[in-house]
Amino acid sequence: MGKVITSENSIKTIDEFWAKITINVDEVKDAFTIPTLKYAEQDMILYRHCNNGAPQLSNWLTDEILSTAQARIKLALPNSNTAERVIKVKILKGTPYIEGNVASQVDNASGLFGNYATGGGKQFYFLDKDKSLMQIIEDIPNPKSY
Amino acid sequence: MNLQVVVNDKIFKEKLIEVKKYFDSMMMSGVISPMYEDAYKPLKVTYDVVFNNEIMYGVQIKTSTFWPIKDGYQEGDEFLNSDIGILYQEVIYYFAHHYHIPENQIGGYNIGHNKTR
Repeated sequence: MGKVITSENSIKTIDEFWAKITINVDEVKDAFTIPTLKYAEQDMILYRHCNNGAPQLSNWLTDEILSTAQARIKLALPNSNTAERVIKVKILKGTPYIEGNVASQVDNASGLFGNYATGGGKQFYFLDKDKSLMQIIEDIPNPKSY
Repeated sequence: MNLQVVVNDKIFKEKLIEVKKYFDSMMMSGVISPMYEDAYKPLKVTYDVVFNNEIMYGVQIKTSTFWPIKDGYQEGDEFLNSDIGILYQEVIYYFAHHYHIPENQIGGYNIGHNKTR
């Protein structure tokens, strides 16, 4: 079993979780349909889909490796994210996170997303302080490049 | 410099002009990085709707336009935490949450809310 994160007991409600996000909490809320607060009951393996040149660690993860096309659709990735790279990370037991389905970004008029970005996949959001505790297992080209 | 919540249209417009001028000066001086190109897109939409009476296609600009910058580029965090990045966030945040498109635009995210402006 992994190290138990002490913050498990410090966040009781989803509002307390939101309160820990110090900047632009609305951008996180916008990205979920129905967000739910959870804790890692044991060490978890999750995945980040990103482009070359993106940071290895992210607040945003999912629980399966998706093809490049499916990742862009289901995770509502921005145009710039080609999902050509997959980073496998370990999350330690006790880590709090938000889980929920990805909200569509099709109506986002910013120009950063395309009509493909309908969402519907599962995503996990972690706080900045817990991002720094994630352990990188693998950083590989997306094995489902289609 | 800390992120401030913009409180009214006048301050919002002043800040919008300042950020737009910054980006324009970068464009004029040559090559910009893909991150700046992405950051410029929602700023351009905002500027054109506010000052050029452009029609906005799509429902709205969401504040979730920040995370592709932060998440997708190594320099994203550094930019968003810089003075100009903070100004940029204040402007987009205000537009996303408070700005209402003029009534002459039929449709848009603020259907039924035009009276607030």
